[in-house]
Amino acid sequence: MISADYIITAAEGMHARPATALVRLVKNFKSTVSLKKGDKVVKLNSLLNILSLMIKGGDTISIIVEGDDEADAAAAIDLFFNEQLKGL
Amino acid sequence: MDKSAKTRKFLIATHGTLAAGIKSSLDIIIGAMEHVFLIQAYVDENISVETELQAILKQVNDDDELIVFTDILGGSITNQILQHAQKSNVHIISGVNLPLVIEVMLADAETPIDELISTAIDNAKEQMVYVNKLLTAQNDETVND
Repeated sequence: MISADYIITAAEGMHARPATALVRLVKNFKSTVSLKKGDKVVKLNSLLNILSLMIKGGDTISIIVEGDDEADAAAAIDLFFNEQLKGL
Repeated sequence: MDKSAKTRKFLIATHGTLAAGIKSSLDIIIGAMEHVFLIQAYVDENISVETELQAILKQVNDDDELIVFTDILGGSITNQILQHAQKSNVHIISGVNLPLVIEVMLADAETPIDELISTAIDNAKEQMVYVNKLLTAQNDETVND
């Protein structure tokens, strides 16, 4: 299992378009990926799961990746949060 | 036949141009999707819902799955779809909203369709929120922490 924390740097937070991109990114891997905000944990197989957390700019979230390809998945998600999210 | 080989197709059928409006929003949020049909009923009085529906059904094979989103349960669109398209591979969901369509369209192709639709409806219902009250409740929690 790999876990990492991220601060959401995009001012609009995790709105519909970046959340869609994240769901699609996770679909490329076999691992189960979850997102944790506060005490709520959701699976990243659903856009509405992400949107229901109302993640705003400045919020801290955790990503938990578990599965055969967890290292590759975690690396791709790391790139998403650190590089791609602000452009979406 | 391998279940995953089925093609999932979608029909958004509404009174007037709501269907095209939903499609426009989908294009922005999730990008252009294949196999999305629209029926915008009563916009052109010369074209009946039945005629449009039959033309769409000709493009859906028995091996395909067609998920139909209609606007109002008990409305004329839903009733006509029920009348003309009650087949085992046609799945009709009324009360369409944007979160519901997104959830269904982004679902894994391997997820059984009954499970997919039930989960999507549950999640889409949760999107209907009186946000003012939600914020008030969250603020109260923060104060009490």
